[in-house]
Amino acid sequence: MRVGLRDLNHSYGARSAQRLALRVAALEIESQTKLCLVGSSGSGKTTLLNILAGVLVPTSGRVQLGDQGLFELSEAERDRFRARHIGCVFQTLNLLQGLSVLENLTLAQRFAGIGSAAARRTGMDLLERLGLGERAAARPAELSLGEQQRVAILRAVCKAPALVLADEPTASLDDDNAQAAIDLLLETCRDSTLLVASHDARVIARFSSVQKLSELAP
Amino acid sequence: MRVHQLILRSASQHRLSSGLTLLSVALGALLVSVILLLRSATEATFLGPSRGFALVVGAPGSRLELVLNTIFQIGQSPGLLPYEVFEELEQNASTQLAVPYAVGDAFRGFRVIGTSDAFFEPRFPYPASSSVSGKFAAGRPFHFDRAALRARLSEIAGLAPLGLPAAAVGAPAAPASSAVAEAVLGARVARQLDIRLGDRIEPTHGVDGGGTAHEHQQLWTVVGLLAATGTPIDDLVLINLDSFFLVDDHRGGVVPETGQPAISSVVLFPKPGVHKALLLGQLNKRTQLQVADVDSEVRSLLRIVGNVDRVFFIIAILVVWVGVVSVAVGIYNTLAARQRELAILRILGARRMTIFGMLVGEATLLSALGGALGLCLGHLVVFAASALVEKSSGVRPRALVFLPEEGLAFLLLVAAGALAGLLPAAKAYRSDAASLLVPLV
Repeated sequence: MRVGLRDLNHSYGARSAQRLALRVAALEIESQTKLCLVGSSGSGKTTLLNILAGVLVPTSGRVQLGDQGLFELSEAERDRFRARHIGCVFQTLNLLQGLSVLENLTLAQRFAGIGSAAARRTGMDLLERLGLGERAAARPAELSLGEQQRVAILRAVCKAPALVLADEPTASLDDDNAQAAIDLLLETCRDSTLLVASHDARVIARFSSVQKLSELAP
Repeated sequence: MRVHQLILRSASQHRLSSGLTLLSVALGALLVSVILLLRSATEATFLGPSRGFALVVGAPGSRLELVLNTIFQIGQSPGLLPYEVFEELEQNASTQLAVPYAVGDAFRGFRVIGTSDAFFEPRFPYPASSSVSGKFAAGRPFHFDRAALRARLSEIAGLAPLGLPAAAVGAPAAPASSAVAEAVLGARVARQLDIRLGDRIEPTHGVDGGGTAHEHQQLWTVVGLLAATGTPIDDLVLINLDSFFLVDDHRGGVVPETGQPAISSVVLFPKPGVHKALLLGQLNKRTQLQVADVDSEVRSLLRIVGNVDRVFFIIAILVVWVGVVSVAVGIYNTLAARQRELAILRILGARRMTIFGMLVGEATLLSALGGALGLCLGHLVVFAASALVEKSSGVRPRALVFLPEEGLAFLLLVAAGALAGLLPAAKAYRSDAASLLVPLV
């Protein structure tokens, strides 16, 4: 999925005390690009990913995802668009703790409109490929942090989204788990556009395309 | 995975909070159930058995007491009524049927009533049957010898034979000692005491259980078992009035002041039309007796009970209200802990309305489970306490029957629970998923 941003601004807070969080003059990302967005804390990486996910409405500017102007859609339409076309990975603690590992995977697919049986089959296949087939019925809390993050990546990619957004996916992970997580992201997003926001050198080193957020400001 | 599965998982994930909320709703539903069951039992106990009865005549005192004692076998008789009043009422032009009740004995916890064969007339409402034989599960009516009765009453009064000429009752006056001592048992008496036709029973003094033995041994032969009625009649031992007065030391035998033979009351069935009003008019003028309209007394009793019951019902509604509010508070309090989880759902594609529906659904589920649990516990409590309630009040609650009012109460409770869920659901609906997923490091 091709991503296009133009004159994008976002500020937090009331009008009288607004804090500018993000300014992007223009950014074009071709389909199937793997791009790492870098910047210090507070530079607007998470804000940008939330805008791209359609859960945060920018103060101004335009976001084009494929042929679709994201904020030309109503909120409900954006929810449906996100469910079908966008996969999101966040830091740790982003699995639903009340559901089993497999249910976390099937739920994401069900929201994307995939049938129950097919969703379970895909979920199990992915877990088995990752060597977590036997943990399918386990609760996320029974998994190690590294395993949890790998399941979270599977949940984002199991519905074969055109765009995958990952916000600090290796935070709190040790080196081995960080490498495993980033390997998995790159491997499973071969056909997708992948945007990773990180200030982790272990992650940045794995991307040929790196974009400093501060360079996007007008 | 559907929304309802998410609701179940969410409720089970917060099982302590969900459990406490559920218990609070269940407590309210339990109270409502118990009150509804007791109210229904009270109405069934007093309205059902009183149907078909018209008037009760007895000694002056409390009308309600007279009706309770005669129709429901509860409490003590207000006093003694001269026997001649019964014969007079029997002959009244407005009377269709008059049934004497002489109370004073008991047989192993069941009241013994001395009465006449009028008790088995089709006009007498229980057991309901258009024929005398249809009123019996087995056997026949006792032998009622009016001539022997009148002879005995004359002996007691020390006077010449009473009232009517012998021809009017179809037989000459017989010596009192020739009266046949026969008994007919109500269905529950026979079942509970395992008494069969031909068995002989010996009642004792006093209407409340043990009592004391008669001075001379007196046995009655069981000749009939009444069909079950579901009324206090099932708990009666009926003996022929002539044999009742054979017992020398009967407490209810004579009016102490006059030495006249006496009974406890007369159940009076007027002829159709204005005759009930005529009888009421005539009898209300008499100062030495009182007449009670059964229907009117039962309704006044239910009004009294209803007022008490209303207070309890209001308390139960308040408890239910607290339970329903606790559903809202319980879910509201878990929202802070669940905000990240709800935000993740939004990121996965759940719409705001899905989140809203999940929380309303969870509140509805907790209310429904709490309500169902409370109703079941209510029935269990009534079942456990039914014997005690029956012994202390005469009311027999039916724990195994679910009332339509309980169904309505359940639906209202679930609806109230769903409404209570609107508050936390609205808060979650307004939550901004993006602000809840900020990086943790």
